[in-house]
Amino acid sequence: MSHMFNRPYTVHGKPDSGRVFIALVLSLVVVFVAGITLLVRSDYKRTVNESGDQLAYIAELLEQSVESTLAVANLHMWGMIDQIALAELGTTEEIESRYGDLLRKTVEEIDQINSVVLIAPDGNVIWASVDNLSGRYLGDRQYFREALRLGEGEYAVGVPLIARGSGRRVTPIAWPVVSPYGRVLGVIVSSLGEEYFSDLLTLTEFPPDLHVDIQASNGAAAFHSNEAPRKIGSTIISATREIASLGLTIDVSRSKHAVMSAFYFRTAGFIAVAIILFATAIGMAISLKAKSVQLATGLHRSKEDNYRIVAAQREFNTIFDNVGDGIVIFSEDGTLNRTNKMAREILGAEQNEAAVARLRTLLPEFSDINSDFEVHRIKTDETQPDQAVQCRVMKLTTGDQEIAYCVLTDVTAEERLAAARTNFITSINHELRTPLTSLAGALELMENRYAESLPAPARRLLAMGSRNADRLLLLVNDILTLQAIDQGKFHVDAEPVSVETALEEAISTNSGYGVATGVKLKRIASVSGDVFVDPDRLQQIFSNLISNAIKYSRPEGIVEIGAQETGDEVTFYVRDAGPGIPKAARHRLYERFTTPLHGRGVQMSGTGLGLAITKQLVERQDGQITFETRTEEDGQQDTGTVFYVTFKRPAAPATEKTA
Amino acid sequence: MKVLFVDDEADIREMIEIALMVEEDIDATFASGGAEAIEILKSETFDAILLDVMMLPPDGEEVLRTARSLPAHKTTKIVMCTAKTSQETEQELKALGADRVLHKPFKPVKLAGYLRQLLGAE
Repeated sequence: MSHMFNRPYTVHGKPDSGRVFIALVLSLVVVFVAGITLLVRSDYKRTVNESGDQLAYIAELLEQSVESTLAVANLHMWGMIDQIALAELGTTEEIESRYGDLLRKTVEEIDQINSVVLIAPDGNVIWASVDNLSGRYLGDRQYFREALRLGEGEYAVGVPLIARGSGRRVTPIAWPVVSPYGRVLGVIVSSLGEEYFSDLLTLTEFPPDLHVDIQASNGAAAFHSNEAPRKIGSTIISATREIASLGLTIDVSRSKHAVMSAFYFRTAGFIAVAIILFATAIGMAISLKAKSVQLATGLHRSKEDNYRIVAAQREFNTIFDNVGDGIVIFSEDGTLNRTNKMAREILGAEQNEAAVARLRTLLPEFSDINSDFEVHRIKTDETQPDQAVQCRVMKLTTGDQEIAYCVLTDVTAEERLAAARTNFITSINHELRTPLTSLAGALELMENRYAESLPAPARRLLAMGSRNADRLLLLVNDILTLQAIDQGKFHVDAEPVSVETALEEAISTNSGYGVATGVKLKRIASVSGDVFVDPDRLQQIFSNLISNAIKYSRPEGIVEIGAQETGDEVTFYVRDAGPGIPKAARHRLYERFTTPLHGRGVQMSGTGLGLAITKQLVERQDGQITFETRTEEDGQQDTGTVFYVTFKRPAAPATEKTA
Repeated sequence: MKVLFVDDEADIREMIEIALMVEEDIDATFASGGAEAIEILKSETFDAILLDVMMLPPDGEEVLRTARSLPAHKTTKIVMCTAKTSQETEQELKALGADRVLHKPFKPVKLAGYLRQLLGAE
């Protein structure tokens, strides 16, 4: 079966699963970055296109504004020209008196122009709304010469120039003054100033960072928006539009940086949000992966545990079925019935249920079984008269039901053996004692009555025979006492016993032991009151201890006997001044048939059972026995041994007893 | 004082006989078994009977029962001699009517003193 338990429990995980996961995450990052780049790029292109369109639209708007305001100005101008073209223009003074108010009114009414200059066909200024131009020759101007060739309702636009007086950028416009007969009487010249374009720009509500240039085909500027000069090197987005009626080109531009600032801001926000979302997703994926790894490990572990449990269960079942004792497990309600092979054999049943039912008829009611542990003797086979089964029952509460665990041991053979041994010892005892009684009695009688009439050597032999017969009897008695103790047939009848009486009796009974060697017993102390013991057993204890003390005393020595009290206990003691107990023997003092404690010279006769019996006698009465000893090997001069035997005082107040 | 000793061991009987030879005040009678003892008890009375328990039937207990059933021996001091030292045995015997239980082996030298003390002669 052992191979089952040596099975290696390795985890068969994919070693490269971690690497695959990392690769997956990395490729996701790459796809994410590519996607973001693509999106940003298309947004960039769209933004550039959109801003181009916006600029074109602004340019168109500007152009249309210029065209429409110019058309309105033309209408005004031609209305005024119709009035002054009815007659010859005459001198400056004549014009002033005839048309001065009209001309000034025209300048005021037409928002687009700031001044009007009237030029005669010879090129000399004959009237101007501004003083510094009167009398000047402007015949060489391209717009003047162009206007001379034009008919009614037409006008010529000049190249933008810097006005000499104001230093402002202006675009001259010239209208011919044509008489009703088609003769050109003069040319009226005015100009569109920069403020005209900037007003229009304000009206179109263009972005403040927009840069607008209006210029003629030769590059002369009619208008510059007051935007800061373009940064060299920065990219520009622009749109262009022709103003057909003025021969000018509108160039609207914006620095790419300005156009893109919104884009950059938007893109930064977008990328930030995207990265946060992506990082969250990746983080979740990583944590999920970690969790799944944990889960897989846990699964593996629980599989391993499962293997172990199964193995342990098989092991248990094998032991359960093959163990030498019978095992029966059952619950009170009968839902659990388990037995092993030996139990079924002992109970003579084939099935679990039948075996449990049989056992329950032999045991007390379930509720009467002690909840802790108890042992029952049952008979499961009526055909064998001396058959005996020991049933140890333990009741345990598992969950909400109580379960009894029973171990059945067939003790038939054991008990047969024990009975045989008892019978043997009992019969040996009887068979030994009967002749011994006669032997010892006869020798004793002879020694007592006829020793004087015998020769000295015969007397010595008689004494030897008598002494050894006594010793043999003592041995048989000791064996019987121990057997009674072992079999539990030993009874103790404790009662309050006067301490003094007990001591006196001990001395009077045991004085005889010391006669031969001249050892004397001496009571040295006592306490009043009673002690709770069996008086006969107490005297047995004294006999053993005193006879030992006398045996080991030097000739003419003294054995002291006494009692002292500690709390509710009384301690008797027997003290000798013998050689003490050798160190090597102290630990086995109470063993049966202990090997001699002393060398041959010192060791006295004895059964080797005295102290073993004494200890049993003391402990069966809930007493304690201890000893103190001093020997020469301990470096002590006054050697000796004291045995202490302690018993309790009676629990209830003792009745008065006189010694 | 008149004492009956019942024991199936001849040596024991003989030893007791020798031990008591010197005692003038003790008149000893011996029975070698239960049956003989019962026969004697039917015709004689004694101050004390020392009865061995372990004998071939009828054993000591039976002799005890018989003795107590006879009016002449209702109050006779009966001492049961046994090697069994257990308290149970002692109580059992006393319940059957024994006055005392004497544990074997007893010292024959001390027997006379024991009997005198039993019969209140000391």
